[in-house]
This record gives sequence, C-alpha cells and structure tokens, in this order.
Amino acid sequence: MNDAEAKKKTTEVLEKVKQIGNMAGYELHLHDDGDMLVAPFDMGEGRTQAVYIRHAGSTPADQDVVAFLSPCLELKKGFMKGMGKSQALDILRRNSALLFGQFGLYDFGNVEVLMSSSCQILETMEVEEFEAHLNCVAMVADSYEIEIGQDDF
Amino acid sequence: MPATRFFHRTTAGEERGVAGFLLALGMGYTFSNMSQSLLPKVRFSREMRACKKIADDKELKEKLDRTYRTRGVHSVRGHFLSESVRVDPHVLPSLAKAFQDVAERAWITESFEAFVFAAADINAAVVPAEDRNLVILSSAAIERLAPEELNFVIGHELGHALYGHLSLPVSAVLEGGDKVAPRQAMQLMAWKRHAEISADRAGLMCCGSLDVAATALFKTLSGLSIAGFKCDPHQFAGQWNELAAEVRRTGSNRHWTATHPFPPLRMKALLMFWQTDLAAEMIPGAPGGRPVDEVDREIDQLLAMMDPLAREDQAETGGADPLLREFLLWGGLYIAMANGVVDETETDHLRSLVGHEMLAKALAEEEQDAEAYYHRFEDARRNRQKPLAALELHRIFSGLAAIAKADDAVDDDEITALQKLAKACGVSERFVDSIL
Repeated sequence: MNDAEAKKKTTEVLEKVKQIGNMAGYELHLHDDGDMLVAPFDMGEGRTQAVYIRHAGSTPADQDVVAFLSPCLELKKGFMKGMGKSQALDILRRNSALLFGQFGLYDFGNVEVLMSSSCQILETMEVEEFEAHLNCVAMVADSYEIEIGQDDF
Repeated sequence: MPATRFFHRTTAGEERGVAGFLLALGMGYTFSNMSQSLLPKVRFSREMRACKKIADDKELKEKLDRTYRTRGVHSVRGHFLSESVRVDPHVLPSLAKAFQDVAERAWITESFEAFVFAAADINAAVVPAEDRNLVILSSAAIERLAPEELNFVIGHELGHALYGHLSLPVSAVLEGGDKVAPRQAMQLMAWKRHAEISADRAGLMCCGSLDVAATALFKTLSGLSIAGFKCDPHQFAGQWNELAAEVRRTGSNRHWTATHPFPPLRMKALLMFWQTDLAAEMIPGAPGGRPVDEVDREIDQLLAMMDPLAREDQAETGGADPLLREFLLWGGLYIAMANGVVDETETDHLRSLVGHEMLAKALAEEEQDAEAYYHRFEDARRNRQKPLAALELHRIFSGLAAIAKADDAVDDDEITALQKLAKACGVSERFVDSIL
C-alpha cells in the first residue's frame, strides 16, 4: 500500500469511526494532523481528558483495527529523565489489573507520552463497545493523573 | 429446439491465463449468426463483472497468470488414465453418446476426454490437461443419475470449460506459494461461486428442463436415487428461503470460503433464470415474464450473503446488506406505515433494497399495521445470534432514513418511528437527526 492509498484508507476508517461515535451520541473531531479523531471528555470537577482514536492497522485477515488512546503523563527523554524502574514496574502491575486496555509509552521525538489504550476490530465493534473503550481509556488515564497529581491532558 | 444450437469457439483455446479468460468473456468467440450464440447469452452477467474486477487488480492478475504458466498440467491426463476409466464408445457406449450429444448441442469443437472414477458420492469436475480438457464423473453419478440428468451435469462441466473458467487457476493460486491478501482471496472465491451459476445455466441449456436440472441437483445433494423420482424445483428452491433466514440469523461471514453456492441457492438461481424472458426465448416450456438483468441483480444479492466484500459493496452503493435485509424490511415498513399510509415511492425504494419477493411476501401477510412491523423488527433483532455491530446498525439506519426520505418529505411520525427503532438498538437520537 503506497502513501496515498494508506491515507485514503485512514480517512475511510476514521469516517466510519466518526459515524459510530455519532450513533453512540459522541461528537468526534478530526485532529489537525488528519490522522486521528479526538473526543474531549469532561471528567467533572474541572478535569478534562482527551481520547484519540486512530487507525492502528489490520489483522492478518485484513480487518481494520482502531486504537483508543488517552495520554496521562509526558516524560522527557535524556539522562536521569524518563521513567524510573519503580514507576515502570508500577505501570506493569497496573496493566495486569486493568479490565481491558493497557498503559504504554509512545514516542513523540524529544518526549515520550504514557497513555492508556485499547484496540478493537472496527467491523465487529458494537456501539456499547465503542463507548466502553472510550470511557475506559479516559477514566484510566484520568485516574492515573489524579494519583500523580497532574491534569496535563 | 433452439437450445441445441450454441456457438462456435475459435481462438479462446489458444489464449490462456487471465488474457484467455477475458477472451472467453466474449471476444474469443465468433458467432456465425445469433442463433448459434445462445450459450454466451445465458452466462450470468454478474460473473463477468466479478472477473473484470479480478482483471483490474494488477497484482492479482499477475499472480493468476504466473500460476497458470507454472502449474503442472502435464501429469493430469496420466493420473486419470491410471486412476480412472476413460469413456470410450466401445466400453461405455451410452455415456459416450451422452457426452457426444451434449458436445454437439453446445457446439464444442475443442477436444476433450471423459473419465469415470470410483466414488460413492455424485460428483463431477472439469480439469485442464496439456492439449485438452478432461471431464471427470464419479461412478455414483453414472449409476444414480438418469441420462437427461447426466446431460445437466455434463453441460455444467463443459460450461465451465466453454466460459473460460479453467483459465483462472483460483485453487492453485490460493494453495500456492504466492501470498494472496485475504480480500483478494475473498474476491476469487466469490468469482468461483458466480462461475457456478453460469455453469448451471449451461447445464440447464444442455438438458432443456428445469425439472431435470432440479432432480440432478437434488440427487447430488441428498445422495438419494429413488427410481422415477422427480424433484419439484419450486419446493427445492423454497429450502433457500429458510436457509437464507438461518444465515441472516447467525450474521456469520464464514461462508466466503465455499467454492460453490449453497445447493438450494443454486436451485433458486436456476428457477429465477427459468422465469426470465431470455430463458423463454431459448428453452421450450420456460414461462418467461422477468427481465434477465433484474433477475441477475437479485441473484447477485443472494450470492452476496456468502461474500463479506459484496456486503460492503452493496452498502456503499446504497443497496441493502443481504444479511441485514430483514431489518430493512420490517423497519422500513414500520416507518413507511408511521403516518398511516405506505406511499408508492416508499414501497419502490424498499423493493429496491430488499427485493421484489421479500417485500411481496411481507405485504401479503395478514397483520399490516405499524406495531406489527415494529414487533417483527424486534423479533429479527432478538433472533439474531450475533449482536449487531455498530457498522451494521449504521447501514440499517442509513437505509431506513432513505426510506423515510423516499417521498421527499419526512414527517414527525416518521421521525418518531425512526427514533423508536434507534432507541431499541441503543443508537442515539442525535444520530437519527444527523442522517435525516
């Protein structure tokens, strides 16, 4: 698949996700980069949390997979920066206790972002599942931010 | 009998691979006059469209051509000469005559050989060898099928050869070393099933009777060979309606791997073809009454139940996803009835989505009020084994919105009805507003 085909595919997938969001009662916006959708969440008590939805790839059976991502911590790269061992182990322990989804580190050049995320096959996703993914990653990310005393996202 | 005059084949046999297949779409045959060109006329038009799509996929076309060039046809004849019995006029005179009769009817000038192999099931196939095609029949087919039923089976197999189906080595590509993407595999298997519909029509032309074709299919499927048994084509085709309901209920996409359409679907497709004006023109006794284009479109929709790609295609072009047709039917009637009157434009739109037969059957039911239709929609939802996915709901509600808008005016009752259906399916009212 060349770049133009990949871009077209992403656009098609995001359009379908947008419609599903609409069916679930959510208004999703296309991110400025054009490669993901954004769902802003009001978590109450003045807290907000953003969820990003992007085309994550395809299964071996060529079914499109979408990823729900919600950032919760920005980590600078460099000496004595980034995530320490104890924090990394804490994240792994949290992953084992999550109902679905997981924490993961995403590379953005000079920073890494810790995000809660979950994936779903687009074609088989139900409206309730869409809502569950959206809410779950937002809540997990927001809870973590509360625990570490931040509200950056 | 007009059905005994088909066509001459000229150059298609010399060209192979996808190019040969495209020739077999029509360009490879020369017709001395229209009366000799009947077999290409009955070919399932949607099969040709399916193979055109394959040819348009450069990567897939290259794989098919490469496989065609490298496949081992040289040992095929040797295999059958060693493992089965050649149909020779001195050894099996009646069978040899059946082959000769069908070949003459079909104007087959290419050389082919026939073989019989030992098997308990009724089966047949046509395979390409180096310089000829081989038609192979199981011993059970010879023993259990009446001569005219054999004509259907032989005609079916020769139809595959005549239509150039052997030039597309689908099985070899799928089993070979070239990696085929899942969507390409689905496309190839869908074409194979379309090709069976064409071959069945060739078989029908060669036996000249729907009853005979139905009996041959029935015996093949059931394994029964009751003396003097005649299958009622309508009854056998009726089995498809129940099977279709079952497929819709499960909501499964797993049928795409099948090489052949479900036998009751094949019977239904033959029956539908039998009722076309084209069949009436060519086969004595065929009643006619329906344009073949319309029938081909409906058969294509039936086949789409086995093809996940076709489900997507139809939804994208505004047609109904075949596995969701029941929701469109009952939901559509509920919305159309919401203001007390089912408008003709709404009925026309609904017909274009769910097909003539399904709508006629629903409109013939006793209970024809909005609430009854709503309950039928709910029954369909409850009966479905697999929950409706969000994208399926999107297809349903987009179709229902189109029905509401069919008469260019969406009134409050229709909006309320649509919202009630949406609520039952867990879809937000805002979505209903957005699609209206």
